[in-house]
This record gives sequence, C-alpha cells and structure tokens, in this order.
Amino acid sequence: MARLSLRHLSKRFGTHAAVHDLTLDVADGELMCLLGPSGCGKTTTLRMIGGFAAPDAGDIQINGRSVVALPPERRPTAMVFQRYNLWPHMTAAQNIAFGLRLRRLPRGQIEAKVRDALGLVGLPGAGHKYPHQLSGGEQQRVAVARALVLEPQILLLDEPFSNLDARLRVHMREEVKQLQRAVGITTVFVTHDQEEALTIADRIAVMKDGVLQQVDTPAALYARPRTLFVADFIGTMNLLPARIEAGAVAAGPWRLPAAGGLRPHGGEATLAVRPEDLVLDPAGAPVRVRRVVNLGHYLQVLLECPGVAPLRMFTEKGASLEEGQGVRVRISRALLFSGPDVAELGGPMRPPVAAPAEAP
Amino acid sequence: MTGSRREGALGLALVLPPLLLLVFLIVLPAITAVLDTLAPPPGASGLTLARYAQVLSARIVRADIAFSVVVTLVSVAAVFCLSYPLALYLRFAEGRLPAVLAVLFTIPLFVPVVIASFAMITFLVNHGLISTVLYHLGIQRFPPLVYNATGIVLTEVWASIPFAVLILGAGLQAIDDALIDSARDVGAGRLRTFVSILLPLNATPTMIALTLLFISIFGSFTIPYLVGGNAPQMLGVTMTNYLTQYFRRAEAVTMAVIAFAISAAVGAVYVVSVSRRERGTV
Ligand SMILES: Nc1ncnc2c1ncn2[C@@H]1O[C@H](COP(=O)(O)OP(=O)(O)OP(=O)(O)O)[C@@H](O)[C@H]1O
Ligand SMILES: [Mg+2]
Repeated sequence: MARLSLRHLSKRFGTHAAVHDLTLDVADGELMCLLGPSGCGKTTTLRMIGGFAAPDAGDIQINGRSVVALPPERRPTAMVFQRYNLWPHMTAAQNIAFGLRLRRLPRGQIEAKVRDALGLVGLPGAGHKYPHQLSGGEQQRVAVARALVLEPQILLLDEPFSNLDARLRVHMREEVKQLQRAVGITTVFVTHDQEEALTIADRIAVMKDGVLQQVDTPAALYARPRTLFVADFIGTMNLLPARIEAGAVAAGPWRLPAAGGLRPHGGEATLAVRPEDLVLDPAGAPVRVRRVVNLGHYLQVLLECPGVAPLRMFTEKGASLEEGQGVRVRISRALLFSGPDVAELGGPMRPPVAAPAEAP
Repeated sequence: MTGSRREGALGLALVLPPLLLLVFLIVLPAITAVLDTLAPPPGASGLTLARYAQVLSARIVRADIAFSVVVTLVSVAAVFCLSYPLALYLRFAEGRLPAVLAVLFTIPLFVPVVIASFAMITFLVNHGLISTVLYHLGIQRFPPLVYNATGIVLTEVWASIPFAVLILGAGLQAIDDALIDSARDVGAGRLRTFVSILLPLNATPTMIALTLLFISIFGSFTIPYLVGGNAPQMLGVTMTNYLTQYFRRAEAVTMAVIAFAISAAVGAVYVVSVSRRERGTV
C-alpha cells in the first residue's frame, strides 16, 4: 500500500530548469506514465523519486512521509533503468539475490524468492546465465524481477523497453502491465512513446520543458486536452489557424458556430480537429483528396484545402475516394485554443476507439 | 580459398617486421643469455644449474632478492591504497576541482625519474623540508627517510601514482552509472557498492595496473640507485654493480634471468586470472 506524492518539485542544472514546480499524486496501485518529448525532465523526476538526484525545492512523500532526506538505499522504491541494468559479473540469479543478501535473509528463503521472481517474469530456467548470455528482452525481465523481488512500495521504470524491437516492446509492455496488476504495486513509468503510455497507463502525466501540462486518464487526455501542446502530442491532431468572429469561428474554408463566452485573444486562435472528426458531408466545405492510405479497417485520407496545411481524415473503408477527387467535408467536433482558453465546439470528442495513436 | 590464403599472407607480411625486430633484438639475445647461464664449465657437456646455485648461495644476493621483492610489494600496495581513492574521487566528484586535479595528478608522468629522485632526496634528507616540518611538530626523533628502503618506496610511489590513477580511473569511468545506481537502489551503501560492484567490475584494469607496477618497480634502477642505501639493494642496482664494478658478467646475467623469472611469474598470474575472467563472466 503506497501513495506517492510529489509537491512543488524543482530541479535545475546550472541555469536550466530540468523540472519546474511539479506537483503530482499517484494513488495506491496506480500505474502512472510520465510522458513527454526528449529532454522534458522525465528521467530527472524519476531519479528524484528514487533518490539519485536531490530536488532543489519541493517535497516527495510516500504514504504521507517525506523521503527527500533518505539516500536511495533507504527508500522503499525500486528502479529499472533504461540500459545497463544488470551487473555483468553476476548471474541472473545472483543479480536478483543481491538485494536480498543485503537484507540478510536466510539462504533457503533467498533461493525460493529468486526462483519465484524468475518464474514471475517467465524465465524459470535462466538463473545460472550471465547477462551477456541473455537477450535484451530477457535482461530487462531479469531487471524487473530484481526490482520486484524486494517487494518495493513503488516501482520506477525509466523507458525500460526503449531498446527492444517493436514486437518485443509490445509484448513486454503487456507483461509488465499484467505483473503490475497482479502485484498491485504503485508504479511510475517513464516513456516518450505516447502509444505505450496510452495502452498501459491508468493515468498519464504529460510534461514539456520540465513543466507538468496535464494529468488525466488516457481517454480524457485524448478527448479533452487542456493545452495545445497536449492536443498536438497525444494522438493524431489537425491544427488549423482560426479567427474568432462574432458568434463563430473561421478556419480555412469552414465556419463553425460557437457558443457564447469565446474571448478573442488578439484574434489569434488554433482549431484542433481529430482525423475522425472530419466527416464526408454534402453540406461541408469543398476540399480535394491528395492521397488515400488503406490502414486495414479504415482509410487515412490526406486532404488539401485552401488556406491551410494538408489535413488528415480517417474514414470507413466503404467510402470510394480517388486521389485528386473533390469532396465536401464537415468538422463534426473541434477544440478551439485561444490564449489560455480552450473551448469545445460541436460536442465533446470521442475517446479513442478506432483511432490509432501513432502518427504516420 | 586462395583469397583467404592471400589475406593470410598479407597479414603475415604486415606483422613480419615488428616480429623480426622482436625476435632479433629481444628473444634471441634472451635465449642466448639464458643458455649462457646454463653452460657447463669448459670441457664438460650438457646443461648445468651450477651458476644459479653459486649466485644464490651468496647471502648478500639472497638478501637483495628478498629486499627487492619486499620493497616492490610494499610500493605496489602503497600505490594501490593511495591511487584507488584518488581514482574514485576523480570518477565520482562533481564540479571543476576534480577536473583540475586530474591534470595535476599526471604531472609526475612528465618528470624524468632522475629529477624526481633528486627532488625527493632534497625533500627527505636530514634538514630537508619534511625533517623541518616534523621537527616543528615536535617529532625530533624519527628514522632516516632517504638512502634506505623508505626512500625507495616513497619515491617509487610518487612516480607511480599517476600511472595507477590513470588505469584505475579509466576502468572506473567505463562502469555505467546505472550499474552503480542499481546497487544503491537495492539497498547497498557506499562501501558495499564499492566492494560488490566497483571492485569486481574494475578487476581487469586493477590486475593490469598491479602487474605492470610490480614489474616496473621490481626492475627499476634509477630510483634505488639514487635514493637507496648501500646494502641491501634492489636487484637492478646489484646487477649493475656486478657488471660494471666487479666485472662478473656471468653472475650479473644469472641474476637478470632470476629477476626475469620472478617478473614472468607475476605476468603469468595476471594472464591466467584475466583470461579466466574473460571466459567465466564478462
Ligand atoms: N546531470 C545533468 N547535468 C546537466 N543537465 C542535465 C543532467 N541531467 C539532465 N540534464 C538536463 O535536464 C533536462 C531534462 O533531462 P532528462 O534526462 O530528465 O530528460 P528526459 O525527459 O528523461 O529525456 P529523454 O526522453 O531523452 O530521456 C535535459 O535538458 C538535460 O539536458
Ligand atoms: Mg530519460
């Protein structure tokens, strides 16, 4: 049972703020993903939780007790690093047993726990192997076993699968998710891969330049991004420059009726439209089909429209669309970002059902 | 087939010049020297160990061999104990100071041993800097620091530390932070992390450093010649005396072979332990 709570955490390197005023609560048993582009401070945050970096300001609490003064070896956390996880001079079993030996458990108990841990990660026969005799995925699994065997209150994973191939990554991700559910361990998982975050996380904390942007469930993050950055970063999103006029929003060839309360911030605004919210409609605006990509159970259509960059549209396979063809397209739902304000137009966005997360 | 044979021939052609140089300048003279020491007295045939028996029967020579081994072991141990903490400091300390120190530490590498030895002498003699400091600290009676084993050890240590720090430091540098952080993470304190992770992972560079230090200190001449006493002396000095002062070449060569055998034994221990590590673990 462990709740993790980060309070106004800051860390700077020289004059550069790697993490700035970060406040985040992770509930007991929750899998929280830290997601953001490279260099946004994810690893720094994780290292502060694990005790490998001291915050310049703020507090880290586990079950309400501050741990900032504790060195890594005294914190109830276990970390799986991105690379070079296992000690090369020890076998897999010795790697896993090291922490148990430090705790002076009886030898029989250590052996039993190591066997259980290896079984848990699906490597029952690998105990006698040295890291260089294991594949990358097996090494990462041993690293996870080494972290779990100590029964930490909080598991910290720093892009643990980023150097594995795509298939293995998906597989490992599912395994870790299952393990995490089974053990019910509070977990912070760092990744810059939004697909990974969307599929595995209970909640996602999106970071940018050391600043927390939004914390939400994957569905809510997809449906109601609160900043333009999150809107653009999560899933596929079309961004159109827009103008706020009396009672309406104009973007490219479209005019959308807007409910009252839209404040023009110097007139500059951005309309964010998911590809599945562009729909073929005889009453829509005229655009031209530039390219059609068959993505299995749906089509991705690249649309050219006057005055804006090409837009991506997802549509059912039934639609007969040819490249170069003129079609009429309507915007069924959109988000309008205007300064710090965000408004939903045409009803709330759907959660990502059929929408794939990866951008082509 | 022909391609690989041609490649083999090319490879041979490339290694041939240094190989020939090695054979003619080092291996052949060494073998002749060894055979010389085993040659029987005029008129007899076969090989004999009589010269070794004769050289080793001299109490003075035995004392010099023992002295050389002890001084070398003490020096190597002292270098190791002093340079490992320095290497650790340079590896883990943050900021500008360690970068500056890393450069300062290498200075002895650029000072010729002769100059270093004379500097050490002026530093360590009676009425030298160290004596004066000790005197002012109230320590008025202490054993002489130079022209004896102490002087040799101190000077050898001074001259060898940068080399040891460089090799040990390079080894430590190659150990990824994540391996150290992982150890802290599962509950190892600093000392335990050092003993269980850093020391074994740095074992090969450590073996290299210790072996090379032993061989170079054991075979050194300049430092014991200038800083050491009259007797006992280190083998390098004894050999030179036999050769240039007593004109007893045969004994000098025999001693050289003995010295070589001791160094080779240390080298063999190193090769065996390193190759076992390579096969076994890393
Ligand atoms: N030890 C350090 N010294 C100086 N700057 C650092 C240090 N560690 C991190 N930084 C800087 O802090 C910022 C955040 O780094 P961090 O490693 O947390 O990024 P990240 O989000 O994990 O990125 P990535 O996805 O590439 O791993 C970066 O700009 C980085 O250059
Ligand atoms: Mg990182």
